[in-house]
Amino acid sequence: MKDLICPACGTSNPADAIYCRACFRTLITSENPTPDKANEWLNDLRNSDNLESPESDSSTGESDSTPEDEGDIPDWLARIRQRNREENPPLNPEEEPTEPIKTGENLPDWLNEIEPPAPEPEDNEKDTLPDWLNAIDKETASGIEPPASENKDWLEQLPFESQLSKNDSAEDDWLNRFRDVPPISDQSANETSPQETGSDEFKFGSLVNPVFQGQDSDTPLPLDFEGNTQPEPPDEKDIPDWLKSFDKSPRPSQPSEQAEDLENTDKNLIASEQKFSGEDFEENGIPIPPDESAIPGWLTSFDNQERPENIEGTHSTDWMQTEETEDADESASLEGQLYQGDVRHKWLDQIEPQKPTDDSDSSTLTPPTGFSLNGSSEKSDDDLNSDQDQKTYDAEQANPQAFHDNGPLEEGELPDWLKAIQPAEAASLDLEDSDFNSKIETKGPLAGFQGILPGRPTTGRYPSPVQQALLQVTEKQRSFADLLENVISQESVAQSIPETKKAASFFIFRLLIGIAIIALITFTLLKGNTVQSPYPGLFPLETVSFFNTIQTLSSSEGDAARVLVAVDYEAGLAGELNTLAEGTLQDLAAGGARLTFLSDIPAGAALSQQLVNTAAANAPNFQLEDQYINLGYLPGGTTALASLAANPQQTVPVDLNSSPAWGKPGLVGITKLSDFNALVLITDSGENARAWIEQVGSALGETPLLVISSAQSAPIVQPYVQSQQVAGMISGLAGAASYEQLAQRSNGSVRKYWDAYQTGLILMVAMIVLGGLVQIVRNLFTRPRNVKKS
Amino acid sequence: MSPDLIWTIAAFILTLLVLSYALGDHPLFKVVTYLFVGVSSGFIAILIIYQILFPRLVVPLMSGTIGEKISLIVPAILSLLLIFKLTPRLSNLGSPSMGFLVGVGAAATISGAITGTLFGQFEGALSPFEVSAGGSFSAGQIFSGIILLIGTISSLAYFQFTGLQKNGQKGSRPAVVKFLSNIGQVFIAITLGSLFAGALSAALAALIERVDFILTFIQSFFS
Repeated sequence: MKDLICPACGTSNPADAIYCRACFRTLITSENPTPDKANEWLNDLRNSDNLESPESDSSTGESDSTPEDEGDIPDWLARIRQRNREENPPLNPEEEPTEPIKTGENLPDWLNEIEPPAPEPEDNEKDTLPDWLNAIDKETASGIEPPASENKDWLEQLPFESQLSKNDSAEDDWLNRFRDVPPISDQSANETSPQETGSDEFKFGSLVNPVFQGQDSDTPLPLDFEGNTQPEPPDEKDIPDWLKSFDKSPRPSQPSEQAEDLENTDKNLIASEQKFSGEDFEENGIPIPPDESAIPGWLTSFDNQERPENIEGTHSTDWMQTEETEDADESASLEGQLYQGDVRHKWLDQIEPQKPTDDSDSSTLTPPTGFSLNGSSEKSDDDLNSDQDQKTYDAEQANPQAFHDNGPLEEGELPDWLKAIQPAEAASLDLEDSDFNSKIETKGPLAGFQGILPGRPTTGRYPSPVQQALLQVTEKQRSFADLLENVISQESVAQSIPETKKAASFFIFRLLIGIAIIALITFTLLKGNTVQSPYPGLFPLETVSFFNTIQTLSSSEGDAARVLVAVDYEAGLAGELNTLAEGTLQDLAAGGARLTFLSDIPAGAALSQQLVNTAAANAPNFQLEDQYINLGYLPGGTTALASLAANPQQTVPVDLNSSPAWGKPGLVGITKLSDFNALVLITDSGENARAWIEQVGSALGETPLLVISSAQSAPIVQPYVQSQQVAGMISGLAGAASYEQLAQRSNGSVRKYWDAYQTGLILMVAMIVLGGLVQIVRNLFTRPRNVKKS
Repeated sequence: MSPDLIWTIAAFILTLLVLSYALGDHPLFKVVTYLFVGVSSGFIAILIIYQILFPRLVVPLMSGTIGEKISLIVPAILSLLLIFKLTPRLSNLGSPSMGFLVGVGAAATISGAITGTLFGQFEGALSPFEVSAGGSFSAGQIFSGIILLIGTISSLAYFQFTGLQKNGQKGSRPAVVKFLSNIGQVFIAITLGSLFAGALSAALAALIERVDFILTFIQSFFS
C-alpha cells in the first residue's frame, strides 16, 4: 500500500493513518471518494444505524440488519462495534447489537485504506482511537447502553458538566433521544422532522467536538480538554432547556425545491458541500436527507467545516451564549447577511424536508432558541431584544403557517416586509458572498478548504452605496422636467446643418453684382473729373464744429498747437479712414501743430506712420522731427485708457523708438491730457470710440475731443456728439466731403473718390430696391405653403 | 528694383487675390488669409517685445532706479504667472493675474460707463430743453429733444420683457409699455438700418480706395 500524502502539509503518512502525523489533519488523498461514493457509505452508515435504532428494534424485536447492510458499514466502525459487543454484552434484548459489520465492497477506498490490514488487540485499538470515537461506537454499533462511565467520556469534556444529572436512567433517556431518530428509509412513515434531527445532531456535534466551537476541524483534539470529573448522565429535569430543544423542538420544514434553486445559483458552494454531505441523494432523484443524528460527531464535522460562519450562530453552551449576547447586534447583522438566499448550504436543504416524528413530543418540547439555523423563521432569545419582537416571535411559533402568508419562510429568505425595507446595498452584497464562499484557502493551516473563513474583504469589495433619490414631484413639475430634458438633449446633440443647394444662378448673380460694382467704380475713377457730382449742400453740425476746431488749432499764433492723435482702426478700413483723416492732418501739419500719435491697437503704430507720411507729403512745411511723435502701441484696452487719462507720462514713457517721449518738443510741459490742445480720435469702432469717450473724456477738461469716424461707427458716436461730449466729428466719406467743402479744398482724395462713392451707393441702393421688388412680386405670385398643404 | 516697387507689386497681387473672393472660396484666397493672419501675429509679437516688454519692463528692471525696480516687481511677477496659462495643468497659477486684469478692467469699464455714458447721455437728453440765458426757446431744438427723448424711452421700453400675471393668465406687459415698445421698434430699426448703411458705405469706400490703387498701379506700370 502506498503512503498517504497529507494535502495540507505534504507529509507522507502510513497508508492506514487517519490523521496526518505532522499537522494532525484528516488525510484526504486523491483516492478520496467522490461525492457519490461518500454519499453511498454515508447513506449505508445511516441505514445501518437506523437498523440498530430502538424503534426498529422495538418493531421487529430483533435487528433488521443484514449482512449486506453491515457490509456497507465502515470496517473501522464494524470493528469497534464488534469489540464493544464482546466487551459489553447486551443488557436489553431490544437493544441487541447488530451483527458485526463486514467490510463491504461499496466502501470507499479511503475507508478501506483506513482499515488496518490485520486485527489488532483491543487495547492497542483503544489506544489508537480517541475516546469520543469509542463512545460513539458504543452508542451506535452495539446498540447497548454503554456504561455511564464510558458513555460520558465526551461529556466529561464539557464545561457545563456540573449541570448534568448523574442519574443513569435519565442518562438513558437523554441518550435515547439521539437514537430516536427515525430511519431514513421510513421518512414517509415517520414524521420526524429531518431538520430537527439534523439540527440536533448538528448541535450535538457542536457539543462533543470542539470543531464546532470554532477550532480547527481537522485537528483531532483530545476530548478531555476540560474537566476531569466524571459527569453523570443528566436527568431529564436537570437537562437544560436549550439541550432539550435539540431533540424535539419543531423545525419549520423547508421545501426541497429551494435547495435546487440554490444549487443553480452557487455551483461552487454546492460542489464543496457535496464532498462531505452526500449531495447526490437529491441529484439521483432520491430526496433522502442524511440522518445526521446517526452520524458521529466527528463525521458531521466534515459538514460543519465548511460553514463555520453558520456555526457561530448556533453555539449552545452557556459561556458561548454569553458571548453571543454581548455581540447580539453584530451577529444578528452578520447572520442576516449570511442567510440571504444564495449563501445557504445544501446540507440544510437535505435536512429540512423531514417531518417531525412525534407531534406530541414536538408540542411539549420548548422551542429551540439557541440553534436557529433558519435565520428568519426561528429566532433566538438573544435576538429578541424588545417586547414587540417577543410577541412576534411567539405568534410565529404558535402558528407559523398563519404567520407567513406564503407558507413558512425558507432558510436564507427574508420575509416580504423585510425585503421591502431592505437597503439596496444588500442585494449587491449577496452576489459577492457566493464568490467569497467559493474561495479555497491556499495557505496556512486551512489550506485546501473552501469558504472556511467567516471574514470577508468588506473594505475592498463592499459595493458603493446606492444613492436613492426619490423626489416627490407633481405631474406639472414632471412635465416641466421632461421639457427641460428635451431641450437639453437637443442642445447636446449636434444639429446637422442642412446643406443648402446653391443654384448656379446664385453664383452667377453674386458674380455679376461684384463685377458691376467694380466696373462702375473703375469707370468712375477712370473718367476722372470730367463730370463731377456735387458735394453735399448741407453740412452736419458736428462737421462744422470739427472744422472750426481744426481751423482754430491751425491758425493759432505763438506756441504751436499740440494735438494728440489717437489711431484706433484696423488696416482693413485704412482706405476709408486715411481718406477721412487726410484733410484734417494736412491742415494741422500746415498750421504747424505738433502731432503726437498714439494707438490702442497693434497696427495703429504703422498706420500712424502712413498718415503722417501722407500729411507731410501734402504739407511741405511740415517737419517730422519737430512736429511728429509716435508713442506707438498702448496695450491694455480700457484699463490703459484710464491709466492714460490719469497719468500719461507713466502710462506711455517711451515712443515708438523706445526713447523717452516726454522730453521731446512736442510733449514738453505736458503732464496730463488736458494739457493738449485737442484730442483727435480716428476710429472705425463704436465700442472703442465709446471707451475713449468714457475713460479719457472726463480727463480732457476743456480740451476738445474730435472724432474722425468710419461710416459704420458713426451712428454709435452720434449720441455723444448730441450730448456735446464730442466737440466735432467727421463721419464717413460724406463728412469728409463736407470738411473739404468747408476747407475749400478741391484736390483731395475725397473729391477723387466722391464720384465713385456716389455712384457705388446709387448702384447699391438700386440693387437693394430691385431685390425688394423682386421679392414682393414673388410673394404676390407664389401661393403660401400652408395654402398648398391645405 | 526698388523695395517700394516690390511691396507695391505684392500689394497689388494680394489685393487681386482678395477681390477674387467674388468668384468663391478658393485656395489662393485662403493663402492670402493665412498670410494675413501670420503676418499680423508676427508683427504684433515683435511690436510687443520691442515696444512693451523691453523698454517698459526689462530695461527698467536692469538699469532703472530702485523705485522703478520696486514698482515693476509686481507687474513682472504677474506677467510671469500669465505664462502658466499656456499649460492646462499649471493654468491656475496664472489665475491671479487674470483675476487682476479682469477685475481692474471691469472696474474701469463700469466707472467709465457711469460717468461717461450714463451721466453724459442723461445730461445730453436734457440739454435740448434748457432755457437759454435770455429766456428764449428754440422750437426746433425742443422738437429735436422730444424726438430724442421719445426714441430713448421707447427703445428702453422695447427691452422690457417682464410682465404681470393676473388670474393665472399668461403674463403680459402693460399696455403703455407695449405701446412704447412698438415705437421703440421703429427707432431700433432706424438705428440698425443706419449701422448697416454705414458698414456698407465704409466697405464701399475701402473698395474704392483699393480699386484706385489697382488702377494707379496699372497706370504707373504701363506709363
